[in-house]
Amino acid sequence: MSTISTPPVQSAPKLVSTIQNLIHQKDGVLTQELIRQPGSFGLGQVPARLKPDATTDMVCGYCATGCSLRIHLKEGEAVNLSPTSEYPVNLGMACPKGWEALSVLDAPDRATQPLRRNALGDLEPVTWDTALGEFCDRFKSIGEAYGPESIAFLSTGQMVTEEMAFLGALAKFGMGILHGDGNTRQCMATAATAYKQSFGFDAPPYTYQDFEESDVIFLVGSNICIAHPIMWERVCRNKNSPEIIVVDPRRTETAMAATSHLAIKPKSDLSVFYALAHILIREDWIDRPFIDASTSGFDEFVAFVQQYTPERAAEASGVDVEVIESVARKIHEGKRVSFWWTMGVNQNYEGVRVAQSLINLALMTGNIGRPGTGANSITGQCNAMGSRIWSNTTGLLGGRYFQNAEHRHEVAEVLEIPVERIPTEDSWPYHKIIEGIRTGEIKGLWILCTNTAHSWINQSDTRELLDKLDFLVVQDMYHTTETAQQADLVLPAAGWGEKEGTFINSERRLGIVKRVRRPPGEALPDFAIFRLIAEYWGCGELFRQWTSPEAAFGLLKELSRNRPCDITGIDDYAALDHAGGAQWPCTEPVANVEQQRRLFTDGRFYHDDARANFLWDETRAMPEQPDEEYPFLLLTGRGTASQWHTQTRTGKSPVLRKLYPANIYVEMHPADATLAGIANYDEVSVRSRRGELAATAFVTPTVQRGQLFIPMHYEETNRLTLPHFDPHSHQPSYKDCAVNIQPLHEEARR
Amino acid sequence: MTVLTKDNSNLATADQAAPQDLISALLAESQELTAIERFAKLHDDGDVPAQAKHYRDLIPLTQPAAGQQYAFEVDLDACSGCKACVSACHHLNGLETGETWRSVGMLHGQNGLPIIQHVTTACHHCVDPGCLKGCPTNAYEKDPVTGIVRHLDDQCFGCQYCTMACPYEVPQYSHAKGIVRKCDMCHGRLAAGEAPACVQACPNGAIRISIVDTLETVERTTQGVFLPATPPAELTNPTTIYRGQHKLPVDLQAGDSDTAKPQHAHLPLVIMLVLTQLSVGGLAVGAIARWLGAGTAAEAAIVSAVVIGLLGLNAATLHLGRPHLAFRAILGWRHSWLSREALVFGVYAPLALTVIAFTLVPLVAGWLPGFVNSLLAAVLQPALRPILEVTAALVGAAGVYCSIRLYQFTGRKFWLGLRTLGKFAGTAVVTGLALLLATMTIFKTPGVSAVASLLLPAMIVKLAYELTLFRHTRVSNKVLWLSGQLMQQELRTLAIIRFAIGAIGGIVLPILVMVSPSGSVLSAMFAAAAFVCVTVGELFERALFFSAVVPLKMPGGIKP
Repeated sequence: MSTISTPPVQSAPKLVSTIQNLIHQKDGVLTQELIRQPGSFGLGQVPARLKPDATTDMVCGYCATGCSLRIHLKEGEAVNLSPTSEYPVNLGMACPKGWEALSVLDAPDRATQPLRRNALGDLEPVTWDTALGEFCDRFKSIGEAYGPESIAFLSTGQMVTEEMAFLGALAKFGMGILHGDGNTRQCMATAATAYKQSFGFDAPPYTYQDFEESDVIFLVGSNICIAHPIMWERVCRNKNSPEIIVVDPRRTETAMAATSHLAIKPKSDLSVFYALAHILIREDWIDRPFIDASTSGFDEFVAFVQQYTPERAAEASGVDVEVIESVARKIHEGKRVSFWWTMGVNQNYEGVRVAQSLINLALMTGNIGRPGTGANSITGQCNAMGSRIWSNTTGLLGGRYFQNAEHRHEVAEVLEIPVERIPTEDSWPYHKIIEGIRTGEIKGLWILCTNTAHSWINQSDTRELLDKLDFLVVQDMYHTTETAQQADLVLPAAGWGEKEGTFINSERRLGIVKRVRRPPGEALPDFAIFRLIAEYWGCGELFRQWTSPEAAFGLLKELSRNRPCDITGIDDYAALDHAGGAQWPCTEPVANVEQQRRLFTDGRFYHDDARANFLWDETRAMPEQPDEEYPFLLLTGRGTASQWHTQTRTGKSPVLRKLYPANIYVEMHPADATLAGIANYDEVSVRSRRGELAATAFVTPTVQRGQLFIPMHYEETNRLTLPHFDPHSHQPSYKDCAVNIQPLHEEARR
Repeated sequence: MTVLTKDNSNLATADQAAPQDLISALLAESQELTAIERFAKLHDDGDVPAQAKHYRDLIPLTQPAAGQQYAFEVDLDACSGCKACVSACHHLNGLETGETWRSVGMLHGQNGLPIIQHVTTACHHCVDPGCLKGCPTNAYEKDPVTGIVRHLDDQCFGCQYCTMACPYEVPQYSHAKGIVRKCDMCHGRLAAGEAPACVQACPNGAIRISIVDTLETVERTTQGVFLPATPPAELTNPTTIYRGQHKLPVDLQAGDSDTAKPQHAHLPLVIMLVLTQLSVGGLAVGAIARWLGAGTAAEAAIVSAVVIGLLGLNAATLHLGRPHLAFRAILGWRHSWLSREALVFGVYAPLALTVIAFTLVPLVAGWLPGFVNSLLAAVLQPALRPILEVTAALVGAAGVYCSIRLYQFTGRKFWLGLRTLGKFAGTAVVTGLALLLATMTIFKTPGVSAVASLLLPAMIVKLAYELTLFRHTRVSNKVLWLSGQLMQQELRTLAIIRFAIGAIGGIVLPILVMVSPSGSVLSAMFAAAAFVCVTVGELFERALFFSAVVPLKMPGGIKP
């Protein structure tokens, strides 16, 4: 008994104890509810009523940190969880989303049966047979009328790899769909493209241990305290008192914790990082042997950055020349310098070049391939890395290319399908698919596990376009997402914890997801849905090998053979589970490989010449600068650690809802607020050329003058954003558009 | 086990049954929980917590000595605002849906550079806990060894007074259970050498358990040293230590300092307070009138006042989460103004009943057996009557005083000093006078105008005093300004009704009573309406008293 300090009085006469209890009751039903007991399994004390009879570990399904959660099971069903103490990623910790991972499965708005829009325009339940018949009939008739290019799919970084690969294979090789992309376009496309161009393969080189081993940590557009709290944990464990340099227009939690914060003007990153290269070259603070042995293009790069003087960067960024000079010195003096970036770089119209400007800095100073170094993209979604290699959308399975005949043959051989079924061209990226609806080239769309109507840039336009489709299918855990509300057909999917598969985290670590909950109603794992579609479509023959996620994993292993992402050393799920995850490449038996491995330790990259490329471009101005009519620049981004993307899941947890602001708000600098006649918590209207929203003003000096910040999680935010894209990665640039702001009620709260 | 998982290839063969069969097979398969059989893994059954290596240095090795206690210690530099502590506490303690014992707020401002500082907080296990002092049932205990403030869930009867008496919003009321619950510093874990849930879960080790010196804590917190933008620490002497490398400027603002949400109106309490005050006021005013010769009208006022007061006292039990335990209300009389209120009104009730017996017994004497009548006559000596009236009124006034102290005790600005005293005492005066006005007019007793001319200024003063709330500005007094804002926005309707109906009942109708022909039916209707309006107006006033208050609290986050 843990919450009772005195034992219940048993020996005393009953009447006395009854009276005592009436007057001072120390135990009873209510007290018992909170009793904690030793939980066994190394858990320490747990709530007695949730004491498990077994535990199992699996990877969290939110972000790309890839924490392991120890699931507390009762008769095979998850009743509670706690972070896995020994996992090399999270070391016994989790963020609130992870702690709450099970509770969002119980939401009342889970999709429990297929829904079809009826003649009245309402979604009504239908059988799986009807739904699948409808799915095939409508898509096929669109295909017959407009050609197979007129059907597209949009998927996700949130499904397990096996499902992504099955989806990509089914859609492209089975159904003949040409165009498919994922929401990873919104988060990681820039990093993927930058790596491919620079290294020859989409290969984040680091391991999380690098956070602990650096002596200079250079973080760009990354509020990891909030967006990746468990990675910040690793920074906090760094024993070298590292210099932490944060580049971010806002004074974020991470900026607060930094030793230097460069509060640059938005989109001046490139000038600053070129200036850093300029200084490093000027001072000869470069690693010439490494450059000579392992890179190409350096001399041209030297010539290019001559014009990018510190003075020019200071002018562009608003950061003093001395500060820029001192940062360059810190990079030089650091023995193990690591460069990290997240959405501040990726969601940028020149993001690929910004990412590469950081890669360039790492290459020229030899800060790569050694502990505590690297040019490291911090990934967003739990399986963005799986999507990047295995989604078979804009690249062929296993980081291959559709245009490459040899690649097509390899895939056809492993999958035992006719090579002719493999398209010879890339899919359109997300924005072209959306644009294709406008031009009439896309007529049918299948959206899985993402919420386009909320998250895509310039939302009102997107919603109109989705309405324009002949047939929209949404496959999701919840039937209430903004996108599902627009669908003609909703397919109910099982969620994380209700199905099996693997995720690949930010540091290339494969982790396993297991079945510890039953899907509600008739919801099915996406994998099962794909199997059914294959049968109903009539291409089941092609996918006879895809009998289970683990069977698919076997195929992926074969497809990875001799690729940089080789995972042939992983026998099966059990081996992966017992090893506690494994980073790719993994060609040795998984039990024997090191837990913390980084790439390029031999200075050899994935291009044919084994060299990494220096890549650059002239800086470009924002397409929509603030002006008289729209004088503020709107930044968007992560709000809190308790919110995830469009809140489809996090909005379902009562605990998480308590941890984040319930409604949309806009952060504004006090001086701007005073000028605009806006007081803290006033209701305001924020307008761009594309839309308008009402929000509560939060007046705080953490945003710079002339800038506003609105978290991305609120449905209204993307009404304002400007659709423009990085030309290489096609990733939307969410963080720069011009807006104005006005009090909603002039006389209110004066 | 379906065929499917035993041998998937069975279903995969082309000559397998129709796709419809695959649907049922897959649906059946999806309902199988396979984690255990597929990933059977030998977890040591050992009871040594695997997490211990991460928290070993965050808990003390020894128990507190005499004059010491356990305390939370928060490293503000390490608190990055992830809020894992909140959800870990929820899950590792098995709390009910949405229940949280810890919270994370935010301070912001400027100190040369902009500052954003997250603040994790739970129970401060105060040296002088407001919850414990306020609790009428003795459901709180401060552990003599550890200093942990524990709540006895089965002793609690759900009055929720501790949720007001705690300046940090620590006790959480559960409607489903009818009790409050709170952080117990995972005392059982500490006793077993394990860390509390929040300590175990902080990725950055920002929360630890320390041993603090009690006297030193009192000295420090009495000087107000705690954390910027928090309630006066001298109220309860919180033991939590907030430390950090950077000195936080004292003018930091809480993330939610410029906003307030309406609080629960606590209808049973509204009724109880107004009706008991009406009762005491009516009894006192009625007794004076009786001595002055108002006769039947005065007696009618007294009887009505007492009956209404008894109804009000019964309404109070509706407020309890577990009303069958209402008798526990008096247990905390040594420290709780709520217990004292219950006790004093418990004495008032029989006294007041005896007072009205003087009026009622003669009316029913005809139906009573002779010996009862003789007994009653022996007890109800006419000479006793004024003494009893004075005693009842004084005891009633003491009850109202307890009510006043009860809310002042919370330290909430909207309830401090005159703002509770003036309202509660004022209610007794205006409702008492309005009651007497009604009975005197109905019974056509001389002196109606005199009563009306007392009610009129009393009501004007009371309303005017209440209106002074609106003179506060964001700068002069933010908390009272916020209460005023609430009344002008979310609670606007309530506020308009309060002032309108109060003015009609206490100003317009008394004037109409005075100007209408004395003894007329019309004047009786006006007077009766005046009483009803004044009473209803006071009920609305009291609803605003509860719903427009801004509680004392730890800094909150952004609350749009």
